[in-house]
Amino acid sequence: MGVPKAVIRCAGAPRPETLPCLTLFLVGAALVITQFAMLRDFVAILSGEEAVAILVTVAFAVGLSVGYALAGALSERAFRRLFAASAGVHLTFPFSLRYIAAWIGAWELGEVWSVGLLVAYALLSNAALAAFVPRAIDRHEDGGGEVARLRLYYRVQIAGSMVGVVLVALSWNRPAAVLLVPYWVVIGSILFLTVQRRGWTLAYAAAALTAVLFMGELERHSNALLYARKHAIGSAAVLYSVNTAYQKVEVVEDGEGTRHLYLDGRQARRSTDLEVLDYFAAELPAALLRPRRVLLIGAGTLSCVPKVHPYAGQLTVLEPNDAVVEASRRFFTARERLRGLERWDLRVDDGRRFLRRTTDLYDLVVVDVPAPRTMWEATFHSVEFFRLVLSRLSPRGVVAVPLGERLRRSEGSAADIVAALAAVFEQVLVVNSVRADRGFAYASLHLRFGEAEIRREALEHDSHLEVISPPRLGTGVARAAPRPASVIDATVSRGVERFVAGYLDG
Amino acid sequence: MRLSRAAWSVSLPGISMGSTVLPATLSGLHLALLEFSYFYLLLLRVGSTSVTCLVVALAWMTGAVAGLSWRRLNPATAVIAGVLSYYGAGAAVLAQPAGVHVWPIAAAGIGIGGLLAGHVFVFLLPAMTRADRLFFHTNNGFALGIVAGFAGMALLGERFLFWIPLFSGMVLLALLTPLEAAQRRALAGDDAAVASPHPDLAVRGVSTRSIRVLAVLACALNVLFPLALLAYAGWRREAPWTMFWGEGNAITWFSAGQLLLIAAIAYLNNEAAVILDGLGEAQPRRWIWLVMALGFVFLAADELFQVHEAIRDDILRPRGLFSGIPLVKPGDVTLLFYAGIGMAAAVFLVGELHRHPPALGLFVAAVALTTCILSVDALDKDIIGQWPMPRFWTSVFEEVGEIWGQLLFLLSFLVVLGRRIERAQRLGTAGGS
Repeated sequence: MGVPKAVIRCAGAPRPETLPCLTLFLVGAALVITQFAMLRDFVAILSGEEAVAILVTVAFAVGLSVGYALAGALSERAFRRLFAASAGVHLTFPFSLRYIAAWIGAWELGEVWSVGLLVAYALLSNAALAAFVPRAIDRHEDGGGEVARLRLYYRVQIAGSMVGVVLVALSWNRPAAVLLVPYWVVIGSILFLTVQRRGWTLAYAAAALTAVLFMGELERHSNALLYARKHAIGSAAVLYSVNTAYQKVEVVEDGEGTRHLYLDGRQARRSTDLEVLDYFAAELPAALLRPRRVLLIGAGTLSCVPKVHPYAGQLTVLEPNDAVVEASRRFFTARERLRGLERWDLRVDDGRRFLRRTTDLYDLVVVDVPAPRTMWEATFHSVEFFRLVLSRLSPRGVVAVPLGERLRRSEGSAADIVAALAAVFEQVLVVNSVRADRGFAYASLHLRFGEAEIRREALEHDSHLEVISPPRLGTGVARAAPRPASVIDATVSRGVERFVAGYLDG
Repeated sequence: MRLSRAAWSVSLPGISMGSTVLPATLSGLHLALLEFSYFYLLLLRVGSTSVTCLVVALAWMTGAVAGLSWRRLNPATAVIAGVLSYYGAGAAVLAQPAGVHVWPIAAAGIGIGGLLAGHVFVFLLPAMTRADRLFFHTNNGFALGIVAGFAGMALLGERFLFWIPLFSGMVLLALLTPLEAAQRRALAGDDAAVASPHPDLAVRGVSTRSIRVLAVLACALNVLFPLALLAYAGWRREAPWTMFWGEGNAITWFSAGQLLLIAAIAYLNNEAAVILDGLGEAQPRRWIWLVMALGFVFLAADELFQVHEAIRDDILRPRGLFSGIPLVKPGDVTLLFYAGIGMAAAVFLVGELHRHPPALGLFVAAVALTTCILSVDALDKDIIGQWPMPRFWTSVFEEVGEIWGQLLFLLSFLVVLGRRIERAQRLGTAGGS
């Protein structure tokens, strides 16, 4: 079978390069979409660590290398079959990997199997795609030097990759179908151009159409099964799931009606915890300070707003990820609770960028960012960031920071954060709440409240508070070096340790 | 005039494979480290918006397309421009992270960095002859670069982002420059090469002038760099040894880079031996050069990641192993172990060096100086404490002595490489005529 007639008709009198160029353009787009989809789903399955993101990227690159190694070794027939098989794998993506990951969790095979799954997917999905460009350069028989073909074909593939990046960007904060449908169309088109068998292409199209028809159900079921089996959430129902530029945002409801906000497969909030977390992170300092201006950084659930509003003159909420805001409005903080509140505004912006640009001074800044597990999260707990916060604090302003864990020893992320605060502020006070199962740090150049005020105000919320005031704090964090960016460095090191312990130590 | 494929693939068995696999892999490694550094620089210092991902990806790809299209670009320019633009863009971004100029400047810098991502394929394909092998080795380097980038961040923290593009760029430049010269010469003599292909065609590019330039450059750097550090310490009104004290500082990176360069030259010595072998001059001990190359790569890793310090502090010292050796600090027996292996390898290497007299002399001087430095390093601090200016001995003397010892090794290996290339030229010319 020769060049498909459709292509010839579209191109008029096609040059010999037209068909490979079209194929390589589509391959470029498919590779980028595959990489993004793999990254989001595997990072969520393997629980949102920085090391996991690197592992997924490396696995993707290994898949490409295998493709390059095979490119020259395969006959045309073998290559077509390999790609047809690979197209089938692409068509099951990302549902099949969620099901397999759920089974791995259910059968307690160990996380190393999940890493194996990642490598297997990288090989099955990328190797065939990667082989296209070297095959086109090495095997093309239409004359011209190989360097000329390299220039042409690789440029076309990169152009396709750029279109892939744009498609990925357009799919951010939207349901999976927005990316999956064009992705499957691209793969189907490559199959049509490569295998050149109508039967195979029709079979693929029929399977793709079926997958599109059942996509909503597949999406919900595969995600729910993953949360039920891997995260042990009984009767899990996934209410919301979108990929964003930052992370995969999901809202899961368990059998008891508790809602969980998951960011890249890591639990960020639980509806039953919000009351106590919001209280210590924001309401308690607001009640003690009665601030004129309050800045809540990363408080995308908006659940703090109705609690802080009564004490604040003006409240600004910053959240970089509008998918988190959307999920929160729909599933965590009903619009009715915000109705009638006027002295607040929401900005979808990065906290650092906002602080650098604003000219306003704040009496209370709440840094409600997840405890640092990635470098990006760590930047919100670094000395440099706290210096930036200090520059936008009023002279007696206070910064409140949830610590993610109780401050118990001189090591760990809580100690790092407190050390970074102590490097910038004159006074730091830490409250360990048994009920919230974590610590909260309050720092200022001149703290306007102390242990007595906190105990009096917070008595009805937690009667077993441990308040660590500056003298004791000094001994607790002395060993956590308060050098610039140390939280970032420590976060990376700890992430590697967690990764090795969780995935590679059996 | 187009480079003859035959001149590279048929007539250059040693250079076409061996000398392009390493540059291809290191190009991928450098590109990964550069892109990694840009991404995390923007993420950590400017802020994370969806713009970060888009700018890095699209600007990099635009640069790669430009690098593929730009016919007059050469790889050395692409490497230097990429590294300089990183520091230029980095300085502009760090100076005003909130400025409106940040993204255009970052995009321009990333785009310039991406030039090499396209051009390196155009440059290496004629020598590699097959695109699948070229993509394979470059991509392996890229994967390795991602791992190395993350490991570097885990071990050294954010300062890794400051040093690594310069370091990897320098190593890559040292490898690409001789290849580029070879390509230029091959282009100049293309017609003759096609008519009568000589096995030493690419070797001529590596030979004589580029080796001499490298040797002079290495000597100058080894003198100027420590002086610059001393001057910097003086400018900051600090004691001279502060710039040499501890690990992970500028001298550590310089030293590690130099060790990798020595490894590369040792590897090229093996390549030259392969060519001589092919020309009928048996080289039975050429394997020792591969051993030396691996050994120096390990020493570079030790320098960067403090392997022997980790063995000492985490394994030997806590358990009191080998702690009773006279004059040696508890746990520092590893250095003696390194020295023992080095001496064993040296026995075999002497056979290779003695045919090139200055090489053997330089090597002996290097061994003597390194032994002296290792002895000072392993000496108990109570003994050094009795010497005048004890900190000078354990910092400036030790570090500068170390890099000068490395310089002597480098010069010794360069002498051998130069002689072998000359020999290959003579044999090739004789065979060709």
